[in-house]
Formats: sequence, C-alpha cells, structure tokens
Amino acid sequence: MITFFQVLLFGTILGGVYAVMAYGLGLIYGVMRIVNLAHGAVLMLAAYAAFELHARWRIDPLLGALLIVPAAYLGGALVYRHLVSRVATGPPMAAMLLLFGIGLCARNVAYLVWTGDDQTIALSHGLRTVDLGAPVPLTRLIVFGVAIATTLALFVLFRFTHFGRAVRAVARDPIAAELSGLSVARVSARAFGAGTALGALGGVLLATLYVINPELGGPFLLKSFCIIVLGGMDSMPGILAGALTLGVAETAAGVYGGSSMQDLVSFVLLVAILVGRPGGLPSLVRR
Amino acid sequence: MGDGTRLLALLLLVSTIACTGPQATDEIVLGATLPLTGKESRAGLMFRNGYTLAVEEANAAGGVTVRSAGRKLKVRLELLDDKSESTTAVQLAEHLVTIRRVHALLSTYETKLVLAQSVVPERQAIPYVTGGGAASEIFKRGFRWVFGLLSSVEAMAGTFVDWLVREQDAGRLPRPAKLALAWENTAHGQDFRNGLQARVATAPDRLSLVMSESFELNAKDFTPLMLTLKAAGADVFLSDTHYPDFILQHKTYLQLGLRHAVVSYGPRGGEPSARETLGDGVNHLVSGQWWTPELPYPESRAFVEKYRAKYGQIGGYYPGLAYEAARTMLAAIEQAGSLDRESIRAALERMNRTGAIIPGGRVYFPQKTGFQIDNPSVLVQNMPDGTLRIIHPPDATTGAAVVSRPQ
Repeated sequence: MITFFQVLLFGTILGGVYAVMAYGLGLIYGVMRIVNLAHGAVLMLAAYAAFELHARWRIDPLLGALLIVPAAYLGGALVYRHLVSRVATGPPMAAMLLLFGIGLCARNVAYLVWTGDDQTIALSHGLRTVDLGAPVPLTRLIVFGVAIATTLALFVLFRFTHFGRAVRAVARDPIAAELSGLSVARVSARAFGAGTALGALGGVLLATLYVINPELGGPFLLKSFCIIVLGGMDSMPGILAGALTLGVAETAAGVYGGSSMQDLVSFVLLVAILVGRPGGLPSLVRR
Repeated sequence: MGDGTRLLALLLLVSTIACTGPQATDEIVLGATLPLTGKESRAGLMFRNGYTLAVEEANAAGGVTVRSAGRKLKVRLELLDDKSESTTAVQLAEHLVTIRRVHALLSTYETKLVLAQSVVPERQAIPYVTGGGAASEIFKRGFRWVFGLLSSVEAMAGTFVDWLVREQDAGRLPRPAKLALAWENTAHGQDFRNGLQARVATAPDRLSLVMSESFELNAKDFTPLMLTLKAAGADVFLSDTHYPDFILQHKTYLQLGLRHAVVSYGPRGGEPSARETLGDGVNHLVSGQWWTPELPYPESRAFVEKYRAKYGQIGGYYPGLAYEAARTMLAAIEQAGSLDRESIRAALERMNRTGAIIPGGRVYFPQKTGFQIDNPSVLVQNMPDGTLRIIHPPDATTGAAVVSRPQ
C-alpha cells in the first residue's frame, strides 16, 4: 500500500533535485531574457568535472564543487563577454541559436574526451538512507538541502548586495541602468557567469545521483525549462515552488498512473501554463 | 539535350554500372560499419576487435576456400565509423556496397542502428549477418538477406522462465511464484514483456504476473516504480533495462530496502562498473547474456584466450558476438563455394554449423523467425567474490544458483 504521505515526501525530495538544476537557467533568463540552450551542456560538463576529481584524487563531489563552481563562473563570464554579447542586443533567437551551437560543441567534445561510456561516482554513503517515515536516500536529501540553501543564498544576494541590486536593475530596464552609471555589459557578464556557476552546481549534484554520459544534460534542460515556466521564469522562490510542484506531480503520476506517465506530466504542465497564463513565456519571448 | 550532356549522362551510366558490378575475386571483402565514436563507441570498439580477430584467424589459416576461384582467398575487412548514428550507418552501408563493392556485410552494433541499417542489404540484395541487434522487429519484416545471430529478446524472456521453472523443481523457489515485471518502453522492452507474458500464460500453475509496469528510457526517478513493486508483494523481480536505467533502478531498489528471491535487470548487472557503484548490492543479481567469456565450451575458451592475448580483458558480450558473426559469414562463403551473393544467402539459410562459441554451440537461421537464431541465452549470477556463475543453460552451468528467501 502506497500512502499519500510517501508520494508527497518522495515528490518533494525529487523537487529539490529539479530546483538545483533549474536555478542557473532561471537566473540567465531572468536577467537577459535568453533561454540558455547550453544549460544542459553546463550540467554535463560539471558532472564530468566532479567525476574526474573523484576518480583521480578521491575528492568528494561536494568539496569538488568548491573548485568547479568558481571555474564555471569564470567560464560563463568569458563566454558571455566574447560570444554571447555579440548577439545579445539582436533578436533573442540569435543568442539562443548561438548557445545551442555551443551546447552541441560541448557535447561532441565530451564524446571525444570521455567517449559514450557511462560513468558513475561511487560514494561511500551512496546507498545510505534516512528514515523520515519512509527511507529517504541520503544523497537526495543532501541535494534537497543544497536546493533550499541555494534559494536562501540567492534571496540574500539579490536583496541585500550591490551585485544583486545591479542585476535587478539591468533585468528591469537595461537602458535606465546604463544611464544611471551601471555597466550593463559587465553586470550581464557577471550574471551569465553566476547562472553558469549555478548550472555547474546542479551538474555536480546530479553526478552524485545519476549515471554520467555526454547525453546527461539533454533531458534536464527540457525539465528545467518546464520548471522555470511553471515558476514564473525569473523568480528564484518561484523556481523552487515550480520544482517542488513538478516533483510531487511526477511522483503522483508515476504511482497512480504508471511510471511511463512521469515524463508526460512535465510537458502537460508546460502546455497548461503557457496556454492558461498569457503573461508567461509568450510575452517574455516577445519582450 | 546537347552532345556534351549526352556524353556526360553516358559516362555517369557507365561509371554507375562499373561501381555496382561485382568485386574482383582475388580476395574476399567483408564490409561493416560500427559505432567507433559516439555513444555506442565502447561496444563498437569491442565489436571491431571481434571482427578483426575472426578475419586474422581466417587469413592465418591461408584464407577461405572458394571453390569457384579454385583456391583459398584472403579476407579483407572494410570498416567504417557510423558515429552511433542511424542515418550514417545506412549511408555508409550503401557506400560499402555500391562504391567499395564488398561481397557481404557484417552489421553495426545496437538494435536501433541495425534496425535502420538492415534495409540496405534488402535493397541491395547482399548477405548481412548481425550480431548486434536482437529485437524481433528487425526480423519480422519478411527480409530475405538479413540473418540474426542473437536470439530475440522474447526468447531471452523465455529462457528466464525456463530457469525459474528449474529452480522451482529444485525446491529453491516457491510454486507458484509471483512475478513482477518492469519493461522499458522500447521495441526491446516490449519484446521482453511479450516473451514473458506468453510463457507465463502457458504455466499458470507455476507462475503468475502480479505487476507489469513500463518505464521510459533514461528516466530520472524510479521511486514510483519501486513503490509499486514493493506494494506488489512479488517473489521475483524482472526488469529489462539499459545500463543507466539499471544503475538508477537498482540503487533505488536498494535504498528502499526491497528484497526478492530473484532480481534481474535483463542483460545488465554483471558489469564490473556496476559493482564499483553499487558494491555488494549487486550480489546474486541474475543477468541474461547472448554470450559470456565464462562459457565453458572449448571453442569459447580458445577465443577468450586469443582475445586476451591480443587486446587484454573482455568487457561484456560484444567481441564474442562480433567474432561469431564474422566466422558465420566466412563459413557461409566457404559453403557457398563462390562469392555470388545469392549462393552465400542460400548457404546462410541452410546453415547448421556446430562448434560456435555462443550458447547452444550451434548456428542456424530458422525461416519461421525471419532468419533469427533461436538458441537459449546464457544466464549468469553475480557471486559475492566478484565472479560470475553460469546458472543456465544446463549444459554450461558452472554452479548452482543462489536464490534468496523472499521478504
């Protein structure tokens, strides 16, 4: 007998995993109105970086994140400054296509470097569970904790720091921000770097849960997109709420409708939100 | 049409005829594409080793006797990289037949690629042996030129049932036993489900199916599936998975503290990397294989020794199947006594070759299955010391199965 409590519990935990992977996409969209189609590649490359650190020097992925996340920030800022900024003022489709191309390049590089073999990170606590009325995998609980902590950190960052205020100003009105003395290009580069760093954090955490291969990021990109639409596109608490909703909806669909229904739920929700909420993605894409 | 255009058209026609004409008969040319790069590259590289070893072995024996040539002919392998892409696999197979003018084709690896590529031999009327695709969908299209060395996934499901019945007879498994089935929503998984359902229906006093749940390939959460499994109260859990899904499914299975008398993920479970990831959690998993290096047949052991001497460790069933596929094609050419495509095809259809390294030891292609072999699969079980024990078929077992007490 499967209880509703179990559905809620496991759904919430799954939502935590989804939130972590979607924050980076949400931040970049929120600031630049660009759907980062290279987000899946960021998740995948960060997962491989965590794998390499663990395989070569037995560095725990959470510790490895201390190296990977800053490196991703730098990488993201450089990609913005040298590539994305060239098309950032044009139609959104140009930037999306550019990022799609970057994502494809990254995936093919991954095939060259790591081949198509499936890799895993074997953690000593990989099979450990915590009893919360039902056995909850420790690894998923850690990811859930990171999702909550990240939401809080982002809230503080955007509300109480100069960088956060600058990002919000650029997101609201880039021309007014420029006139008031902010360098929009610099803020955008830093925001793109931060979004990439968040994506990398998601990738590192995903590496502790899933098998790593060059295709890892693809399904998560689609799911992240559903989540940011569900969560209101540019709000970090909204993304967390969207991720938790999706996690519970998928788990309920899997339990009550069959496992094959799980993925269907996210896309049904995506269509329902886009149709039922005219102020959502269509208006944002038109800008 | 001007004279120049006519001349160009004539030249094109002549060159096309020349390109599609028969290969010169001073050597036998086998063509193949393999996923040497891309997501199937690991298997593709091992397939290449298997094909290469079979060709080198034939050449070391002086070649293959071709009666129409009056002597032994050396064998050459034309191998191209299809990059794990279906369209490339099709295009390159066409190229091998029309431009490189090979005498026969060996297949690429992976069901989807083989399914796509196998239209080429049918279109070009050239013999094609595959050791890389098992889905019955490949062979249910009434094709004349495609011959399958892997038993169907349906047959593999039947092998599991045969073994479960043997375990019941040995008193190690309850009778009747309750089965829970999870199958991936692909041609492969549907074949597994169909095979299992058909066999269970013939033995209602032995087995009952209490759960049959599908799941999507590369799913990211198996908690609902495992909760359903837990609620089903089965004795035996059978799933048919690809590797990433196997790892995530079994990890979730272990984390939820599930336990069954028999647990299997179809062909998965015996990989060394699975033990690295899941530790002792993989102990006693049962997996179905089309070939395994542990098979005690002398021919199989000889192959394993040759392979290890040249390439090192064998990782999985891939090189054995490739080796046997190439040997089968060469045996058909020898039996045909010519490089005529129709004669080679007829030899494959008539084939009843013993001494093969695959389970059952015999290669034959029954017409009723669309020229797909119908041998049993080999079932292996992970032992706590890290070794694999063959538990089925009876002529190859290396020890008794360990069947736990269901929870």
